[in-house]
Amino acid sequence: MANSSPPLPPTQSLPGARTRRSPLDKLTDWLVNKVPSWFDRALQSLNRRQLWILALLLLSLSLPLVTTPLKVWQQGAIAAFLILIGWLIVRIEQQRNDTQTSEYLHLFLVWLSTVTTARYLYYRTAYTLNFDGWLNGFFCVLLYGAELYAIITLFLAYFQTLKIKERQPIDLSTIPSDRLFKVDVYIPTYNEDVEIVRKTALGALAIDYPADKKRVYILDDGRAEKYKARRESLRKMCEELGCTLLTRDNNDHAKAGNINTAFKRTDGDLVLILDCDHIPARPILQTTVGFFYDPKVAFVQTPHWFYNPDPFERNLLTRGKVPVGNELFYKVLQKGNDFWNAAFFCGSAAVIRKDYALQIGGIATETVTEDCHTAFRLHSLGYKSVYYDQIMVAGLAPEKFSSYIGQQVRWARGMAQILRLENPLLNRKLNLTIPQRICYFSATSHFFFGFPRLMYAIAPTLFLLFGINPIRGLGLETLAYALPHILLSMYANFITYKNVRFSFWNEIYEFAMSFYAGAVTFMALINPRMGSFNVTDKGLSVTKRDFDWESARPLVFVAVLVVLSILSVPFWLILRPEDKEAVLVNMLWGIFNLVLIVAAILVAFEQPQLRRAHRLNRKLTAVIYGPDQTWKGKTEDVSESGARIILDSWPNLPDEIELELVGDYGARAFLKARVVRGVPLNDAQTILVVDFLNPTQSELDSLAIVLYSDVREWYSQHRPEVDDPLDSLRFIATSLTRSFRETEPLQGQKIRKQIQAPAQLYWEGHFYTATATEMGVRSLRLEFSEPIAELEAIQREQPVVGVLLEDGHPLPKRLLAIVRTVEPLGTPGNTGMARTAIELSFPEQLQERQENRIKQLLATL
Amino acid sequence: MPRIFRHLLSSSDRQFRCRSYQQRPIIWLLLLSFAGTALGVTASLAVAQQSDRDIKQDEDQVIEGLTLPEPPPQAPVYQPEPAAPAPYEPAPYEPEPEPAPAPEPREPAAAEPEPAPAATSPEPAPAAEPETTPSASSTPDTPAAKGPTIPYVLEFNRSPVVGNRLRLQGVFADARLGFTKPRSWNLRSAKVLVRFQHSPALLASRSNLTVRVNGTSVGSVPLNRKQAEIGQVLLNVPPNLIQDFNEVSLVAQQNNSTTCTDPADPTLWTEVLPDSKLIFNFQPKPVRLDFNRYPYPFFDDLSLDPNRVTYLLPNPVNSEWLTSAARFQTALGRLAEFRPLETRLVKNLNQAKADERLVVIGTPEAQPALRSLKLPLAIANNQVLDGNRDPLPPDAGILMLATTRNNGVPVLIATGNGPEGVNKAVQFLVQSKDRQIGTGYYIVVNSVTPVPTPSARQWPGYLPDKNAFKLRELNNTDDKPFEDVTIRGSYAPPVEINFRALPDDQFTRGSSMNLVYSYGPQVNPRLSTVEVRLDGAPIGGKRLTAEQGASRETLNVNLPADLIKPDSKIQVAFNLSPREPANCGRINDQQLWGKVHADTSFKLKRQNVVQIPDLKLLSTGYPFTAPQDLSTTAIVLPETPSLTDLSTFLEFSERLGRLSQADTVKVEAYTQDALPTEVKERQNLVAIGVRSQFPFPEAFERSGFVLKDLFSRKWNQSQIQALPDSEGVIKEVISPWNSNRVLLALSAQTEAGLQQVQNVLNQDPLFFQLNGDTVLISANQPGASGYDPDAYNLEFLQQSPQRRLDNSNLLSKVSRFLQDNWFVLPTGIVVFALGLYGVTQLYLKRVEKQDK
Repeated sequence: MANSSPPLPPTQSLPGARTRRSPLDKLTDWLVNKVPSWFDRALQSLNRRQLWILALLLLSLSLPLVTTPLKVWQQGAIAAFLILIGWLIVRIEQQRNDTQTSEYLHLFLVWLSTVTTARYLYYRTAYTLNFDGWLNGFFCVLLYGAELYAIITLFLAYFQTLKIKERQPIDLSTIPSDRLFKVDVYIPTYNEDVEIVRKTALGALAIDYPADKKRVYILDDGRAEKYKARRESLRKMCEELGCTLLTRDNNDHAKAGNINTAFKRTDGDLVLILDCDHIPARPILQTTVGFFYDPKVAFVQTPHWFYNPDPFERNLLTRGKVPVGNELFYKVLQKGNDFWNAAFFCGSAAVIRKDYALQIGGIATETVTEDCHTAFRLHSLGYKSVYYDQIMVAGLAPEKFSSYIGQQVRWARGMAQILRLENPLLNRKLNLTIPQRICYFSATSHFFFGFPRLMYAIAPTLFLLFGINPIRGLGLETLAYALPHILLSMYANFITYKNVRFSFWNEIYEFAMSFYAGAVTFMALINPRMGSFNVTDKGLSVTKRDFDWESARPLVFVAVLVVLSILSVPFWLILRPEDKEAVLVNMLWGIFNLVLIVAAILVAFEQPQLRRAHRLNRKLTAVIYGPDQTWKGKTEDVSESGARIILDSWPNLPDEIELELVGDYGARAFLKARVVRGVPLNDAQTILVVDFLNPTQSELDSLAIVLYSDVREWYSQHRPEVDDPLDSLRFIATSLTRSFRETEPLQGQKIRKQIQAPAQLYWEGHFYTATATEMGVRSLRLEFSEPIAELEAIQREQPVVGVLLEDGHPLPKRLLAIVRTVEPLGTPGNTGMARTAIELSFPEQLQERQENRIKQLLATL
Repeated sequence: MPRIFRHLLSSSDRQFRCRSYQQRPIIWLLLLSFAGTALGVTASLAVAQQSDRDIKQDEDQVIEGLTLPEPPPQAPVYQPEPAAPAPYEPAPYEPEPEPAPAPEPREPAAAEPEPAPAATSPEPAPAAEPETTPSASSTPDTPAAKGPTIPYVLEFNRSPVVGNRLRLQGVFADARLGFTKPRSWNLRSAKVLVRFQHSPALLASRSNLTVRVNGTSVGSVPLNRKQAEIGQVLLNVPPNLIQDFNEVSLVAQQNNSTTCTDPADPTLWTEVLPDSKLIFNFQPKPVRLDFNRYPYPFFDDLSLDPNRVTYLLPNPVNSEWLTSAARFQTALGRLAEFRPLETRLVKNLNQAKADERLVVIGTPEAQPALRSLKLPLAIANNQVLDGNRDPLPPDAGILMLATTRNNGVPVLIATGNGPEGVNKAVQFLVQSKDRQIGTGYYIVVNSVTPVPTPSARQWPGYLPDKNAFKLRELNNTDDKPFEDVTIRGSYAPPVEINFRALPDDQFTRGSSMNLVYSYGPQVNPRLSTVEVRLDGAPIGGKRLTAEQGASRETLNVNLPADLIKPDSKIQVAFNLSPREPANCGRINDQQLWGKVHADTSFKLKRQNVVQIPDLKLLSTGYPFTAPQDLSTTAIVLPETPSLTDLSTFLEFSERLGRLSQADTVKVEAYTQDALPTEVKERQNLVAIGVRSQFPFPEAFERSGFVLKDLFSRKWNQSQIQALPDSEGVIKEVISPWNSNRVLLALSAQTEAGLQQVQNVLNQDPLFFQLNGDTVLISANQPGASGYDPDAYNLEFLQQSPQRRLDNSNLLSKVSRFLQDNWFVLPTGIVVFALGLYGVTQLYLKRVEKQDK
């Protein structure tokens, strides 16, 4: 080191590095700044319509690029080149991580993908349709239709995500209180558990809004005869909490009818509609009502969010690391729709302007997705919609796969009904803009994925099992055209979806629902008036592993076919070596399908729920009150039945404690809790696992407020996990092994107070001297340094024994306990004497009599 | 009917009509102008017709008013003379070697499409004993033929299917040969001489060779020769068995075991040697000349020898004669199709030879020899006169038949009192539909139907211009529309479909054929297939899976774009296996059948693109045959064409005729000085002449191979002088006056060189080899056969840049550019994506701004 010059300070080397930009940076700068600004200048004088025409002109001029056939190797080279560009852009996007840049790069990729897809589509149409025989022709048409559907869906999705609109709430504090809107909160309910409704009502009452401007209504739709007792308990609850119960005695038009009836009976300007399991957070009105000062705004929608795992999360054991099904919609598509003023009303967690709703005759009743239909009508009257992306309700997702199917099927049917009844794309009577039409067409046609998805799974099977060839000349050339189309569309979507929908999960959602969605949409197209509103079951719990044959049967059938077809590959290779290319391509396709189908089937393999209540990953301040000391910690997660708390110390705690939880806005809940385990986290921190002990109703109420309502921002608002396609595929491929792994309860250390007190054990006339080393409310540990004569008998019989504990008072405390385990401790050091430890527990029957004595001991020892 | 009508006209009538004709020169003028201007106007001009009705009626009267002479009592009768040893075929006759090793193959390729090689024409066989038979019968119509019978020997090796030998293999094998009987023959006797060898393994008692003529067995011989020695059998054929078209079948039944013969046993063979022959004795039949039999006797499609046509040279040779001769020769070429035709020019009538037919085209002035012929219409003062000895109008075409050389040579005369008349007369013969109404031995052609020019891409025998069509819209090998074709037996020959692409077709991917087929029951589903081949290359197939047969199954086959050529054939082969294997010589495959249905459909994707100049395209006649009536072609000769120039010119016209098919011929021919400028600029040009007199020296002044004065030649930078230069040159360049047209130069430094060009045009094996843009031809020995691979040297050069004639739409043009420069395509995709990106981002900005 003697001859070394002093190292340059880091600040000196930095500017040089900054000026020498990498070629990638230059490319990005060119693509994101120079090109757009050049176009801005060059096309300054054109209006929007002319820009449209220019874009169409460019598209039509690119026709030769789409239609020119090339030799296989040339197309292969083009494929590689385009894929490389796509990959490069995704890499740039990940490096930059800047919204504006992402948006531009996405837009460029969208067009690159569009032209490439058009090229594939032309190739597919012109050269690969196989009408050789009716069987081939029939399946060729089906598969081609499926691909067309997928491509149309892709283009629609591109359109919807061209620009993601981020909204900021409008501050209400500047508005004089007399100009504040009067808000009614509606909680429509049908037959749900009153406890569920109670939490929602509590949350609604706790919403931050001037009390004279807000009223909470529970709209009971349960038929008076059938659910008489329930209505009674609802009424009591309302009285107790201070909200209004509105009832009606018929059940016409289900939820929509319920709300429409209430519209006439309340006097608010705005209505916040909450499903009975959607517990609102306090700021829900503060952030949304401001938007209504734009007189055109008809409703403001906020995202739905579920605090329990849906069947996909639970049964595929994602542990919350994979975005759930609705995140794509609420975090990307709704915001994209919002840009085109086409955000949808989703039935709950939305504030709607009553006047405007009444102008269209209230909530729409013709379809089973009344919400989207209502929004559609409001839009076609020229009103505006707002989507504000801040999770402000905590809801319950369907627990079981079957009820999940029920819910999705209803949406599928409803959307297909709207498509059929209103024909949003082409209906001239509607006063909708073209982008709105496209967005609605996209939404209403979304659930048609069923049969196309099944067709994808069946196509390779058709070839391998039955020799049916829906694609003429399937082989390397097909791949050379298809791969850039598939990969570029994945790249383009990756930029917008990477936080909200992981690769290949879309396929799983679709496979799982394929048969039902296909059947329902098909029926709805034939007869759009069919089908009634079904209420999704929520709040159930799954207690043991169970395979839902009923729901998974169609998919299992398909899976068996796919497996058979893959098994047939060796026969093909031996008997028909000339078809090798087609067989191998079909096999790979089949294996890929199988992986996804197996994962989709596993969704029907119901995994037991280990906890009594769903855990929320909330970081609440927790204060633990010991007999003479308090500890402050943060919850790691918390549920209605317990919590995990991180403490910055290793406290010597009794096993039962007093706990205080503090919400984001200061709401508090006091609870008694038992410490189940303590796990040292690191040198300084401990995780305590506590169960709440027999909370009273008022304790539960305040806990519900703290947990669900007193929330500044729900933790799933920002997801740290980012999609990694390979990881995602690996995760899906290993679903099978994960599903059958036995779940084991976590091991941890029992928490008892560490003591050192002389003690004596009395049994069958003998006293044995011992030291009490650990004591809790329910158990005690004694260590004996002398040998015990009847040790084996004690171990065998597990008798009730007497224990004398000295706590400094003249008289030792006398307790009765049952022997649980006897454990030899070996011979320490040089004493040469065998030591023994005996675990004792205090009998339940004597709990009341001994409790005070135990607590005194715990306090003094 | 017309003849009767003519007889009914009274003489006073005739006089009246005649007078009125003389008195109405105005109407005649009108008629002339009508003929001159309205000839091309079709009948669809109804309004014009309405208004011109009166005039027309008058004209009709005038036309009918021509007084024709009383017909002479007898039509001229052509008495064919026994053919002299052919002057065109100096190849000496080689006497049969005995014992005969099979004669050397005269031609290598049995795949040659045209069956009759010109060079293997027969010679009178001195070996056959002359036979005299009293003439027994003669048709009442013709004078009784008397005199000696003439022998004629037809050797089997004239058929290209024979080649070295005709092999018969298997338990029951047959081979067939077709031949025709010339119309002028009065057949007296016929014999078949079969020479054969057979496998020594054959069992004499159960093996025999039977000869059948038109299905009738004429004899049988046991196959009992030892050690494969040559057997020979001479069988009489009853002359009345021989029709116009005949078939000799040689049927061998072969067994090598008394109990069970394996049909696949290779020792079951018999070979019929190519020097087997048919020996005829015939008397020539006198032929009464009549236009209702035209083109016979000027062209006999049943002739076993090449038809020989001789033109009488006019004086002077001018553009009118050239055009008429070109059209007539083209029409003869069309009649001839693949049959050989020999053409010669003579300066006077005496030079015509016995087996030749003489054609005289031109006005009496240009053809003074007409006066020396005995004609139905008199000629005076170089004018053809009518019955009243008045000159016929100059625009009336006159066709007459006559004989010369003591009735030994028939003469066809196309004349008139003016060039229009001559032209009209020839046009009448050239237009196949008009020709059919001709009768008698002289015809006055008042008008000929104007035949509209077909579209440039309407080529009969080629693929239709539309892109989706059915098989029944194509012609089969007999030039009839396709009907359902059924084949029988295990390995029946495939059904052949002529699938001839237009020369300016360029196929792109995605063309397909949807074969509709049926097959009968009892096929073995494990082994039977239907297979589609394109020029022999398999392009698709399918198993025949139904044991009970199937009806109207379909097979969709991709037609590979780069394999479809102007001479392509699609073959549909049924490989039918019987359900039980054949054994013991039992024939068990005759119940198997396959059928190709005529509603088999085709879907083509093609562009109309061609690169010129390219002599390979000349094998289809392109671009001269587009449209097929040759209306875009003009042939140009030197100011005073030599005899060689003229015969090259006729050879080329004939070749154009063989290559095209239309209802009329509209080719034009000019001498160099008479060539109008607009023709030069509008048409595809063919220039003929030796270098020193070549009409368009421009053809040799541009790039590529250059013939220069003084025997020098140049290629790129090399320049030489060679003596003697007897090489012929065929060179195609883009016309200097129209870049969408070509100029074809048929030239040489010497007349001998031009003779080589003629040989190439005349001989199919040479002509279909043409390639590149320049061909240099030399012969190793004079008059060699085109089938002899060593006889000619053809050098192909390609130098001058080609030009693409592209009649496709803009999209195809761009698409082709991208195919040629494929790397532009990904660049283009990125550039367009960038453009769309730029426009869209601005659009989104505007939307956002408006929202705010």
